[in-house]
Amino acid sequence: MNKKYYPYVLIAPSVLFLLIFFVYPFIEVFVQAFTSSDGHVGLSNFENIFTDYNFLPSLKNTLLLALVVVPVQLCMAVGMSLMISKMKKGRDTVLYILTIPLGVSDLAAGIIWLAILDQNGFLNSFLFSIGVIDQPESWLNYQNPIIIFTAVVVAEIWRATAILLVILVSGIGLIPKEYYEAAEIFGANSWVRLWKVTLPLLRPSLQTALILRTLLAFEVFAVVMLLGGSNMPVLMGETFNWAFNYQDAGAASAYAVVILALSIVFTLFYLRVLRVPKGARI
Amino acid sequence: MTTITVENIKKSFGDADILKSVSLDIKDQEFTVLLGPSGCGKSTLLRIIAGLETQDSGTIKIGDRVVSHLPPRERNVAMVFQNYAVFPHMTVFENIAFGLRMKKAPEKKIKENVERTAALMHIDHLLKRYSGQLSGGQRQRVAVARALAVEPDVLLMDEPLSNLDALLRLQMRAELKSVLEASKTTTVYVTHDQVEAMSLADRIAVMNSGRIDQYDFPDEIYNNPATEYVGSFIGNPPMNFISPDFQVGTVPNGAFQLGIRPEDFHISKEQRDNYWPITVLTREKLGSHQQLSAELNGQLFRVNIPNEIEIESGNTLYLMPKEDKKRWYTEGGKIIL
Ligand SMILES: Nc1ncnc2c1ncn2[C@@H]1O[C@H](COP(=O)(O)OP(=O)(O)OP(=O)(O)O)[C@@H](O)[C@H]1O
Ligand SMILES: [Mg+2]
Repeated sequence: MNKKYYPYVLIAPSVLFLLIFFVYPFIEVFVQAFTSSDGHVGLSNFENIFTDYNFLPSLKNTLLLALVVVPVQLCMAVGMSLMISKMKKGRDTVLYILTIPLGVSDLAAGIIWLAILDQNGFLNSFLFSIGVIDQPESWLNYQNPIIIFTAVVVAEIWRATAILLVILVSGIGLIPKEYYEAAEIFGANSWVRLWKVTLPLLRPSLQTALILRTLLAFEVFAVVMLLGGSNMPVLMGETFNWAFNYQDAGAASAYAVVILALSIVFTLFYLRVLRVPKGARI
Repeated sequence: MTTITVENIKKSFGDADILKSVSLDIKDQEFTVLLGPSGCGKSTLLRIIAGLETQDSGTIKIGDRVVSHLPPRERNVAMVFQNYAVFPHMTVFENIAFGLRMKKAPEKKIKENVERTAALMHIDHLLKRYSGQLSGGQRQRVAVARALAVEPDVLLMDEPLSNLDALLRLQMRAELKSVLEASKTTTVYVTHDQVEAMSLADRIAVMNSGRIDQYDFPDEIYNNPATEYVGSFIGNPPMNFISPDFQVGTVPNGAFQLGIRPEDFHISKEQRDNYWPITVLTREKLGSHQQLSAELNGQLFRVNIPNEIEIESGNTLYLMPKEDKKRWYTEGGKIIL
C-alpha cells in the first residue's frame, strides 16, 4: 500500500468511533431539539422549556454554582499546586491522595455527602454527641435553600478540585526555574514572582483547567439531585426530568442545546481572556 | 565602593565536592573573569555570589556587607544567565524594564534606560517583540541589556557571549568592555574561552575542578602560570612541560619539570651546543607563524617558529629554551619562584 495513506488508515478506527458515538448522537440531539412533537421544524421545544417555571431557577442555580465553585476551586488548586511543586519528597504520594475524590463517581460523592449531612448523618450525630445541638436537625429541606446550595458547593469542591490541581501541577512543572531565578535577582519577592512569572506562564494550563472545570460545572447533576432534589433545580437535572419523567425527548434535547451554548460561550471567553500572544510561549 | 570578597566557599552536591574552599578578593570596579573548563564549578561559584545557591560554608561580602545569607534581591546584583532566562511572556522592552519596575523607578527613567541599553546592545529595533521571535544571539543581548539597565553595583555574567557568531562576539566583546569601564561596575564574568578572558579581564581567576589555581593579571597568568594546570590550560598551543631527563644548566632545588612556552625557544637548523635535536612530526602554517609538533626520546614538544624557516615533517631542528623564559615546577605541579 502507498505510504502516504498510512496516517489515514491508522486514524480511521478512531474517526469511525467518533462518528458513530459522538457526531451522530450530537446531530440527533440537534434534530430533536429543533423538531416539534408534531414533526415541524421550529423553536417550539425551546418555547416549551423557556416558559416552564423551572427554567429560570435551574439556569440561575447552574450559573451561580459555577460562579462560586470554579473560582474557589481555582484559588485552592493554584495554592495547592504551588505547594506541591515546592515539595522535594513525597510529592507524588500527596498528589495521589488529593486526587482520590476524582476516582469517586459524582453519584457516589453525592451519597457520601448525604450520609454526612442527612438528618441521621454523621454531622448531626457528631454535633449531638458533643452537645452543640439538642436534637438531630434536618438541614437539607426546602426551607434552607442557602444551606442546600452551600452543601452542594462543598461537595463539588471536595469532588473536583483535583482536576484543576493535576493540570496546574503539570503546568508548573513545565516552567523552567531560571525564570524564577532571574525574577529573584532583579528584585521580585515571592508574591511578585507569583503574579509576574508563575501565573502568566501558567496561562495555557489555566485555560485548559478552567474550560474543563466550567464545562463540568454546567453538567452538575448527581450531587445536586441527592442533596437538593427538587428543591434545587439545575439545567442537567431538568434535562433528565424532561427526558425520563415527562418523556419529552424534544424538550430534553433543547435543554442539552442550551447547556452546549453556555459551554461554547464560556470556552470562547476563556480562550480570549487567557490568550497567549504569538511568540510569547515558553 | 563595591568590592566582592569570597572567603573559603565550599559547596558539594551530594557526594561531589564542586567547590573546595574558594577565595577571591575582587576590587572596586574590577573586571574579574572566572576561567576554567566545562564542569569546573564556575557557574556554581557565580550563583553562590548571586545568592541563587547556598554555600555549605564560607562567607560572601559585597562592599562591607556580609551577604552570605541574604536572598538574591537584597544583594543588589544583576546577572546574565548562561541560558538567557529572558521572560517569554514579556516583550523585549518589558524584559529590559523588569529590574527597574521592581525598584519602582519613575516611568521616564525606565524608558530612558531601556532605550539606552537596547541601543547599546543593538536590539533597539526589537523592543516590541517577544523572546520567542528572537534568535539565540538576540535573546542573549536582551539578557545583557536587562542587567545593564538596572545600573547595578555588581554585574555577574555567565558566558554572555557564548552563542554569538565569531564576528559579533568580537564586536560585542569590545563594546561590553567599554560599556562596563564607563559604568564603573564591579564585574564577575564566567567563560571557558581563554581569548575572551585575556582580552576582557583586569584579573583572571583560573579554576581547576573546584579550586582557584591562580588569580592574577592576564600577563602574569600567561608568563608565570602558578601551576602546571594553568600553563597547560592557557595559551594555544599550551606550555611545554619537559621531563627531568632533559634538564640542562642550573636546576633549582626541588624542580621536577621545566615549563616553557612554544614561542620561547632559540631555534637553529644546525647542531649547536646544548641544543636538543628534535624530529618534526607535523607542521601547520597559521599565517603569522608556523606551529610544529616535534618529538625527542618520547618527549613531545610544541614549537612556534617564524615563517622564514623552511622545514618539513621528518626533518630535524635544534632547540634551546630561552633562559629568562624558563619556569620550574615541582612534582606536585607548583611553580618554583
Ligand atoms: N544542582 C546541582 N545538583 C547536582 N550537581 C550539580 C548541580 N549544579 C551543578 N552541579 C555539578 O557541579 C559541577 C559544576 O557545575 P557548573 O555549572 O558550576 O559548571 P561550569 O563550570 O559552569 O561548567 P560550564 O562551562 O559547562 O557551564 C558539574 O559537575 C555539575 O554536574
Ligand atoms: Mg556554567
